[in-house]
Amino acid sequence: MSTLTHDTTPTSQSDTGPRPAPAETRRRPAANLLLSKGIVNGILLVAAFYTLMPVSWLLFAATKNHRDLFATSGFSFGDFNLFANLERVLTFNDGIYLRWFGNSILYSVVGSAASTLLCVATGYAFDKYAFRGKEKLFGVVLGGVLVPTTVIQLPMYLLASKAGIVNTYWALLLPALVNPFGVYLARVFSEGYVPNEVLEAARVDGAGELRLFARISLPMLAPGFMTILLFSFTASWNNFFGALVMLNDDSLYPVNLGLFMWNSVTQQQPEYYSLVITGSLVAVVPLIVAFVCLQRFWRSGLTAGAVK
Amino acid sequence: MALPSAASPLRRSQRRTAALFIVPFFVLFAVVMVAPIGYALWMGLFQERSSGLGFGGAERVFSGLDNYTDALADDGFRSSFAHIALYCALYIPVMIGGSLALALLVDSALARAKRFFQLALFLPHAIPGLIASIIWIYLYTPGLSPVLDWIGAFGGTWDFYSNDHVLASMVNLCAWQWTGYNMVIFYAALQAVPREVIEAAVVDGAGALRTALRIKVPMIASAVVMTVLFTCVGAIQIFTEPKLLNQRGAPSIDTEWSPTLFIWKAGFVQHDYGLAAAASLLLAALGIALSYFVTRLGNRWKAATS
Amino acid sequence: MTRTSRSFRTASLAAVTALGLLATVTACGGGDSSGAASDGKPVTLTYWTWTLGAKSTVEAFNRTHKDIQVKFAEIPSGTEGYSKLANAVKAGNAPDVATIEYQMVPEFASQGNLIDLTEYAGETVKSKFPESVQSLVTFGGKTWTVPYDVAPQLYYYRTDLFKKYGIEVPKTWDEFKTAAEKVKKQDKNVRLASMPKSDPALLAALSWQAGGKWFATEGDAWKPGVNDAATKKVAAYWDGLVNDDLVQSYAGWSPEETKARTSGKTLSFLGASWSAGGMKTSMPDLAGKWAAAPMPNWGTAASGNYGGTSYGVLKGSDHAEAATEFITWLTTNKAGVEARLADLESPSSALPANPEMREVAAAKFDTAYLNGQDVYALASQQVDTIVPGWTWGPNQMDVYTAVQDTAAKSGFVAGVDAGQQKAESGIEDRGLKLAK
Repeated sequence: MSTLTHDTTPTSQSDTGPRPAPAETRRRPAANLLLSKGIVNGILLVAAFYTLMPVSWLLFAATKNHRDLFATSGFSFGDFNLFANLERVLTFNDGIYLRWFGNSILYSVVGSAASTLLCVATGYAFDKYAFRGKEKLFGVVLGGVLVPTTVIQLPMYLLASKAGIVNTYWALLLPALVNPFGVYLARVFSEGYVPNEVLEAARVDGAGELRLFARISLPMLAPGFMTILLFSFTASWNNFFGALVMLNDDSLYPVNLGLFMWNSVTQQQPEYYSLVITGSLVAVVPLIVAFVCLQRFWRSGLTAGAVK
Repeated sequence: MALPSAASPLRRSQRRTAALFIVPFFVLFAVVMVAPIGYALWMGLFQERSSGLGFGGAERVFSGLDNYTDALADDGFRSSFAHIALYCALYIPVMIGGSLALALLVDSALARAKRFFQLALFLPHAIPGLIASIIWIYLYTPGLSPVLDWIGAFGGTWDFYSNDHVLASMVNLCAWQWTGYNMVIFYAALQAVPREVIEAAVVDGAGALRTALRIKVPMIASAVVMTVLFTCVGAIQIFTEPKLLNQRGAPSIDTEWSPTLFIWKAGFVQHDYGLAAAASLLLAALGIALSYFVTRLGNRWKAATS
Repeated sequence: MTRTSRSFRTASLAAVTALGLLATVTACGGGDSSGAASDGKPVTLTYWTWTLGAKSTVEAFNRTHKDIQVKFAEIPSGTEGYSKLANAVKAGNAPDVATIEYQMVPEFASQGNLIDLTEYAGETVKSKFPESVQSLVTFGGKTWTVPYDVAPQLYYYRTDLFKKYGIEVPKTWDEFKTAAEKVKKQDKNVRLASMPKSDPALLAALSWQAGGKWFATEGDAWKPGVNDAATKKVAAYWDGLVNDDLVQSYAGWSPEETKARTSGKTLSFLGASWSAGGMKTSMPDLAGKWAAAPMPNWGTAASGNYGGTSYGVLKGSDHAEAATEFITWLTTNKAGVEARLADLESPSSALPANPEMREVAAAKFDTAYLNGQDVYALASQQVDTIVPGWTWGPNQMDVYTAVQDTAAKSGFVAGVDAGQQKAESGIEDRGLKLAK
């Protein structure tokens, strides 16, 4: 892993160890320093409050029944109904929420894993093999990077409806498989992580090309794989517009489209508010956990994107 | 890269492998990106026509570029771009300014608990845009919102949905999601600034604020400009946030407030696929041009710095 | 090499399994058209609605019918719901039966989303429903949907607070304005009513009441009049009240609208026969404090239809006949109407369009919330005052959004002008005939 952080975030070592205190601090009077320190950390605390407040509100709101939701103030408890709310969300309409959750996992986890494998294989091939028209083809990939996905969603819908795959799992999975930016990243990663000498040595030992990829290159590309995976995972987990356009059948919805529908129903049936709130919480918690656990990949991925 | 000679079996097996790795991607690429654009180009040339009162069915007739001229002449479509421009004018200074300031603060020697702050500020990005919008819209809703209770406790009133405030409400909603994300990018760029440069400035007697503004910011200017441009590319695609605000009855966020909302409405409310296809392609052209410009600029900087 | 190829094979096997699984799941997700009656199994109908009391209705139907079973799904009302329905028709997975408001019948029929029900339900509609309602579901000589309710406008007010502020129930719009002024004078935080800018259906009903006609047909041509004189009068009246800050303008159906009602900041609201059903859920603490009255008018008793629903069979359904049987049961069978009111959480107070069913519903509706007032009798009287001759348009949803978008920004008068423009351009764009 250290190779990754080293390569993509040029100075991320400084993250792990404290930087030597700059000279400036020594020259200032202590009181002044304390004040600046207070201001800097104070501002950061306010910012952290701003980012964390909505999620914590969600946590409070999920414990309330419909009446308390509107009657008690946001950061206080009414009757404790978290478990009742959870039960209602999970069992509502024959457990449709769990189905949505499963769908989300299918679209996001399975979809982005397949997409990432495709990207890594393609990017790797662009880097390591010579073939005719290679740079022209890569130009096509770069052209694909330029096309914002939201913008061609409607054309995709029109074609998909002609092909009869609208309102099926494929309608969301197929577009998710193609990630030109991932191919570009994979080529960069492949250049950086997989030394040609290693491959040559293995070839001399008689290893086949597929084996080379699977046993030698792929493990070396693992950090890059994770980075691309996270990118495409967030993209598909966030893909509300695509789901709204492509899907109609509740049983195919991902969580976000399901919550959107419930939220639309709150107009005629206010009791849906607690469903939406608790449902949102259930959807968000695993994401936050995953995000905290995988933060190093996030950071390296982002930096790779920024530095590119 | 040293390649084996052309005739060798090794070379042939490599070619096969390359094809095996590359062909699936391009097949899918053609299906998912090229074909829809081509099909939309075709669809954009037709319009649906019925006759009389319209209860006898409809037929598709060739209409040339009418859909394109209709889209370009449509007040709703045109003003959607003005909305986006206005939104960017408010959003970009707030969001980019905020993330830059936070990145500088976290980068400063005075900050404590840097890891915690980075994580806390970045956290909203883990939350899907739709859920973030729902949460914030609830936080804007009287009766549900603690924010309004706090404002009320100080004797103030605020209507997040009124014509004057709703743009700010939307900017807040998006800034919440993206400030931390861009902060991390800027922070990483700041970390790449050579320490000697900063120390030299300090030795020259520059204070922390001066160092930040005079030394650090110019050093990461390219990252800032790139982020601004990426934000613009994102802004022309904005859908979820205005959709939810519109659904909630915010009066000035109308049903064709953003270009994507216009397209959605043309396709799914008016069922005018020709118009929707034409508007999509026009927007795609703008998006591609903008992205192309960004990438070009990025490459030039990369070439200049390396 | 063997190890490699094995792991490769495992991986590809896993991939194939995953794909296969996907395919089966997809296949299951796709078709509902199985279970034909020929093999002795009951026909399964899908039914999408947003109306109150749907759950108890479907349960009652399934209990009493062996050969037809109905699966119901809640969908959003308004634009969201209709575009979902229309998309479902295009995608080939539309439900068999759906609630279609009268205002959407011409649009849905002319867009090809509905199955012509003349053959199955033409007779029922002709023999069991008043002519004024028949005209809302019959176009081009074909019966497109079966009516359920009529929705004469009703005026709901807080009896306790009207007493407190010393105001009489307004009978005309002039009195309404005077009352609004009186309320504001006594308490600057309280208003007589709220007029949402986001509910064009309400504006349409108010225009209908004033004698406006948003659409008409002349031969085989459409003649829109979204900004006709009567509508303009209504729009200007409400612009005046809003500009003088005599009424609030909360977003329709929003929590703040409800909150203003529950906290006594809004004393009355402009509703319809069906409004009474939802009040019990949205304002549980105010039982006994509300009463209904005829809508204030312009001098002579009149009412518009505010909403009103019918049932249609959507294109693509393989069970039009069974679906019509279900619909007929919903609309003209005593058990169907009773079941709808039996829902404990959210009973429906819709007023059936079929006169016989009205008595059934009236007998079943729990009037405790309205302090024992016979809201059904009141609503029935109002039906007779509904102004005849109103027609909905072939691009109604588009007209609505145009009215709503513009009204939100520049007031109702500008809104109906924009609506008229949209009506004309929409009709011409689709190649329909526009009367000059």
